[in-house]
Amino acid sequence: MTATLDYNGAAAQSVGVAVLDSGINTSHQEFTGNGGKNGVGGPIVSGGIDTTAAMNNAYPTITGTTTPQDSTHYSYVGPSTHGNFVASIVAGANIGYSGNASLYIEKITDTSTASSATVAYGFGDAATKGMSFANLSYGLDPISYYKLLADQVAAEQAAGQTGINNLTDMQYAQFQNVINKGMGLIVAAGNTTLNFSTSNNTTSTWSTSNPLYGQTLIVGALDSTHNNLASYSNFAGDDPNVQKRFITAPGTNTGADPTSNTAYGSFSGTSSAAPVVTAAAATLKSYWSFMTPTQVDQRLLDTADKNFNAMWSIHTCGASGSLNCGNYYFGQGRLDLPAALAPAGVVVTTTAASVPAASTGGAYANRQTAPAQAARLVIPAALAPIQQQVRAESVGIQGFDTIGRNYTLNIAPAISTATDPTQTLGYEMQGFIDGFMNKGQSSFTAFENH
Amino acid sequence: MFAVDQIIDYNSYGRPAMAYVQYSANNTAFSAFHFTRGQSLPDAVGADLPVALVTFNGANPLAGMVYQADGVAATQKINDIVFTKTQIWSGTGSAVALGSYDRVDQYAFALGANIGEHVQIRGEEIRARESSGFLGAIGSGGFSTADGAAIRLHGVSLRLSLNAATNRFEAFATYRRGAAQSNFADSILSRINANLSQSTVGVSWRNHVNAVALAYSQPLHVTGGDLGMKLAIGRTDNGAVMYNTPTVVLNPGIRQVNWELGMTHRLNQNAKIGMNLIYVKNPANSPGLNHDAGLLLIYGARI
Repeated sequence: MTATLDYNGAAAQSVGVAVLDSGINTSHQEFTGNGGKNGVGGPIVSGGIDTTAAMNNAYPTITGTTTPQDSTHYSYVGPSTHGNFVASIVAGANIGYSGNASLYIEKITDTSTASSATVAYGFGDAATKGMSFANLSYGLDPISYYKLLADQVAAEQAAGQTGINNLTDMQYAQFQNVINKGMGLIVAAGNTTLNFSTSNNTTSTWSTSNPLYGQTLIVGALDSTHNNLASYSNFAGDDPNVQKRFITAPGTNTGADPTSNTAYGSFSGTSSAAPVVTAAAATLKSYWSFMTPTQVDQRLLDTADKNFNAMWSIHTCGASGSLNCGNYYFGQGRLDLPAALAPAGVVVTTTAASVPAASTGGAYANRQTAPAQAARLVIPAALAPIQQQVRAESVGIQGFDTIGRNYTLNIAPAISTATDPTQTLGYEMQGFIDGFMNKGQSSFTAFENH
Repeated sequence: MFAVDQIIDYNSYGRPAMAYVQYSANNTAFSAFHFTRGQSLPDAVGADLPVALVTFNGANPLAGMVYQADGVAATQKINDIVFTKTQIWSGTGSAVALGSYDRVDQYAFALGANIGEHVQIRGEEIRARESSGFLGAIGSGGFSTADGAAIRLHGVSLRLSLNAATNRFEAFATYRRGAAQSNFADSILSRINANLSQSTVGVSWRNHVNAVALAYSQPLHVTGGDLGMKLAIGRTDNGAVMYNTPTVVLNPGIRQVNWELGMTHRLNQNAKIGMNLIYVKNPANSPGLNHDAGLLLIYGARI
């Protein structure tokens, strides 16, 4: 299994991750201190809100709750312990998959259900707070939901209505904020063994032109072998657009139990798998802060493992109605963070002014390739004493992969000295032998006319 | 009055190693020539000695690095003392062990004076351009490069000669120094500025039967200078690459010196014996060696 496993991420980088869930026990030992496993970066929990209270305060006339409410509490109350498990899997000090995420808690409920309006507000608030990713381990298809909201708002606007007049307008505005900020949404697929495509009627709501499409990942759960989809997990289904945004991750993980500050428990479901992917996204972004959440999501999709289940060798799905092909079950495959961290294509250093600022993959017209000298710098033997100095100066040189991510290169082995065999004494003496009979030979006059 | 002189030397494979033809009339001489590696032209200072290395190290800079070259030269006598010599040649070689192709184009101008019958002194200005190497890629201490190098040398040479009956005594010295420069737009090695030097001094005596020569030389080599590097150290969020641009001093560290003693005795028109003793201090192309020496006893005969 190459999913994530204890990858600490880059030092001193904190990637903001919102957890839209049932709150956390802030005193739990998984959430105290700074920077997760390595003690790097900012605090594990940077803050949070009671999302419902904050929404009511923000839109009192729409929600009908005009009395100001205390929105500062995001602590676990119960009965749901869900949020504590989810948050700890993302960035817990000891059990979190990411050592770099700094959590912002959007407490959207105390129970196992949450209002879609609260979720929408939570997404929008997280984007406003500058979060890079938001994890939602509650059942909501944000792409379909956004399409629904957008259609309703369009109808209102066609009827001459403007502004935020109702919950639909409010939610649409929150999602627009998410789109404008570019925050990534990582959402659990659900635990009802359903075809995600058909159960959400995605063929009528999902399209690549939906602004949320590129920002959203849907996460299915793998069983304990990590080679099969968990029996309960929803699967991608037959919509190619869903398959392209669907990824799977381990569905059973150890999480922090909020009922005591030192309690732990096993936590299963797509709710458990989604934070694994969120942690991977945070880890990836911690190394390359310039990557947008959309690029991070795409990199995780592009590098997902497809070599772990026999379903990947079945290619007869679709026409026959069969659904047992790899991408119908696993979408793009199994999360493979090491592969996502590995360079895309060949890493080359450059002398150009810039490298691709951002892209989601593929080739680039302005990609700079390393010149031959960069790949092999030969110092003549007569100047061998400077070889070590050139090598020392080259330490830390950066190369760039095809999507502009920098990696430290070790080019010292490519800085070598070379000798010229035609300049050795033996070679010279051989030349002397060859011309020996002509040494000292005088010219002769071919013509002379006085 | 005019005269046409020519020389054709053949190597051990029977191929022309050097061909030289000169047309001279009044105060002007024109020559065209072809030479291969290790062969010097007949009028080069220090040429025609019964020793192995000096014959070309003392001749044209970089000539020892080409496989073959062709050129022309013109000598103009200004008066009985002063003369000028202009020489242009172009040769090809390759960077040994790198497989790249290198072309050397050289232009040289000399202003000389024959002082009496025994002394010749001349000053030289030499410009050379390499297509893909730097000082012959490796041979004389240079680099393999993609963009080539421009080389400029200036020097002075002195030749004392004395003829008595059939004996000819000669002492010679050349010293050249200059710089070679390369700039590379697309390399982590962004530039090289190297100071160069080349020197040879020697004495010889010969008659129709015997020849003896002793020579000391330092082949064209790097004496100092620096090189610049352009090393990517990171990037900004918008993709701009940040660079570190260190300078590395070209500390040659290794300076090769050659001592050579050679002698030959012609047994008859078709047979010759010879001895060549070479001592090399700090042989640049033999890493790890501080000294190298060779002794050669040779007998040659034409059949």
